[in-house]
Amino acid sequence: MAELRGKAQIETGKKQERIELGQDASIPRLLDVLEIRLNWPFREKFLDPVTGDLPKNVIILVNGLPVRGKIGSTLLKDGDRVVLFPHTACG
Amino acid sequence: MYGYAGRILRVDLSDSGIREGELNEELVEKYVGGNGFGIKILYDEVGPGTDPLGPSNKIIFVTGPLCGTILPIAVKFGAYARSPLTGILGESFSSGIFSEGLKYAGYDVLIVEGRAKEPVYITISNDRVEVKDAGRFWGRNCWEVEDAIRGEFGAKRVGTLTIGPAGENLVKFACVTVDRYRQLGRTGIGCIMGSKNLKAIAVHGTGKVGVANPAALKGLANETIKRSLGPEIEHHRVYGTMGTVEISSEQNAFPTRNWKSTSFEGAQEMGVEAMFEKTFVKDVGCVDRCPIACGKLNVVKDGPYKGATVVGPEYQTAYALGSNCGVDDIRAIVKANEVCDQLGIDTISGGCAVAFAMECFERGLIGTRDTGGLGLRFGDPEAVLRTLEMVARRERVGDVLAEGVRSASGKLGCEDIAVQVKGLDCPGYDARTLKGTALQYAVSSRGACHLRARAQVPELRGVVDYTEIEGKGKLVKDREDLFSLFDSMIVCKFALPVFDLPEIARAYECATGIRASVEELLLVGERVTNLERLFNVREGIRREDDNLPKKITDSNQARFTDQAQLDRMLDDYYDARGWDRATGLPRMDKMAELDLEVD
Repeated sequence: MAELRGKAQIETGKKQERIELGQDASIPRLLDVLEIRLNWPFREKFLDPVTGDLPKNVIILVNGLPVRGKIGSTLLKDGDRVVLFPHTACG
Repeated sequence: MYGYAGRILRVDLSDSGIREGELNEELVEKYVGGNGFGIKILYDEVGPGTDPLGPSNKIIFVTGPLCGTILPIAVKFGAYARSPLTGILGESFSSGIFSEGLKYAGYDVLIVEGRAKEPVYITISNDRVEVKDAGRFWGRNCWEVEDAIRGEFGAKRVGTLTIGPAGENLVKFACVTVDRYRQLGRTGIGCIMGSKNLKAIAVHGTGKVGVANPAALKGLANETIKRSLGPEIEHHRVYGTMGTVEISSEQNAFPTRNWKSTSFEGAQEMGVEAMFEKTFVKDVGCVDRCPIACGKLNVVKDGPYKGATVVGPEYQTAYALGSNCGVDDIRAIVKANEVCDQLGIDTISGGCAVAFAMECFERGLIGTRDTGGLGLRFGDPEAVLRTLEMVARRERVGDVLAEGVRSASGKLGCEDIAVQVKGLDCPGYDARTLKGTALQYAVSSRGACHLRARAQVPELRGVVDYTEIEGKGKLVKDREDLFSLFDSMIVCKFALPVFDLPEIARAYECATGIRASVEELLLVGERVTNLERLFNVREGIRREDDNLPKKITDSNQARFTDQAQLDRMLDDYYDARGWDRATGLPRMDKMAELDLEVD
């Protein structure tokens, strides 16, 4: 299950999407599927094109824990809950 | 003296005496401004055991060397005193026109001392400083008084500080409302103003702050504006602090119902998406020239709270008046925020007092006989609003709550449900989940504070592992020193992604002409933190006071930071600080290294 927050939710009108990823169950693949399905720039927002890292100003939680660094190496499994924040914490 | 106005203004309310003094060069060199000036003057002039509500307590309003310059992110000022809520260091920062106004009027620091016999307000219009009769303002709310005082000044650009009924009635966590929508929120500065019969201060200045290198400072300001409009700070610009609500709740860091749980099932209903959908009007900067403009103007458009208007709620208000009271309606939170701003109540301590009372009601420790028939139940917005009114007026149970949760819990015999450190109610980052945050609450010089180290930021962003204890002592120490420096200059901490230490060093040199390395500047931050500690030590604070409430340490819950974990982090923190592990006192060699001479 992918849950969307902030502008990702407001601009797509979707709070959550159930996604089947098949064999390549990586976060970049999840971003691709979401981008095609919801026509929103998930890849640009959540993936640095040069380093392949998660940009500093966004947060992805997998089952409540933050993902960092090279997100391509984070593999998802059945039943995982992924929450995508196109912004970060402050205050 | 570039970057500074060069003068300190003193107003003694006991005899309406007005005195001016020169800014001491040693003070400038060793303490820079803001936070540094505040603690140094407080340490020297407010002795141990001073009655916080007596005439000997002083309120020291401070600016920094970057305030009033072209830098758009240096629009803050601070207030220092002995806190009536905690009995230790009282300190609070706000943004507003007051910061530039005081410097343009010719002063870096305003010290208010003594006690007026009747209600008064102070006006500062350049060199003309007056103490005026405020009898007609007494009993009126902050916004009404501000409007009336602004009317006196006509179209001039005026910075205003006002207290409401809460300050007049000596509610220990009364705040000061600044330019209508901002506050000196924490530690009860509004209560001290009330004790001095001081209803308001208004400042108007037309002078300028001379800087050493105007062209270079302008270049840096332009660079800062450009970067502030880019991706590094988009989260502040677009979402403000409300963007953190669901980030916290999803990571079990959003205290709920007086800290009964660590996440809130209603977070989506009162989070940033709900705000944009239901109440958001536009972005608002602390002052008009701030390019970040993280403030959000919200107006309730329908329902029972229609018309309620605030710049906010900020994240902490959404916690204290929202999740902590079990309220999930953003419109009700906006209304409660407005009520606090008008009555002059700190939204964090005010919300925490209401949440505490709700748990007391649930446990039968207070009943309808104490509340005038009101059922104090979690999730009821009307109960929140009516309790805040009772607190501000000191009516019924409000009179007990107005003394602060620490005191109220002692009277009601339920210290185990009081969520405070050193008397200051815990902010809305859950210290059971976030270990560095737990440590920062335990050691912060004004009591549980989320702003001195901002340890929650790297923890919630996943930059450091929030479950890990190792390394948190040094993390908190380093970040305390960093943000002590920010508060000494004074620049907005939210600008850190675009205005870090190298930029601070450049700005300081451009403004003052004083060249200092990043290391030398951080030493100022460390000196300031140590002097704050020494102030508290003089008031009796020791290692055993660097503690956490039972709601955080109790191991009979899913998440906790117990005493053993805290002790390990404290040892590491004291080692990093050069403080004695057994007592928590700064060691003599550390004091010598920091050139601190104290009694």
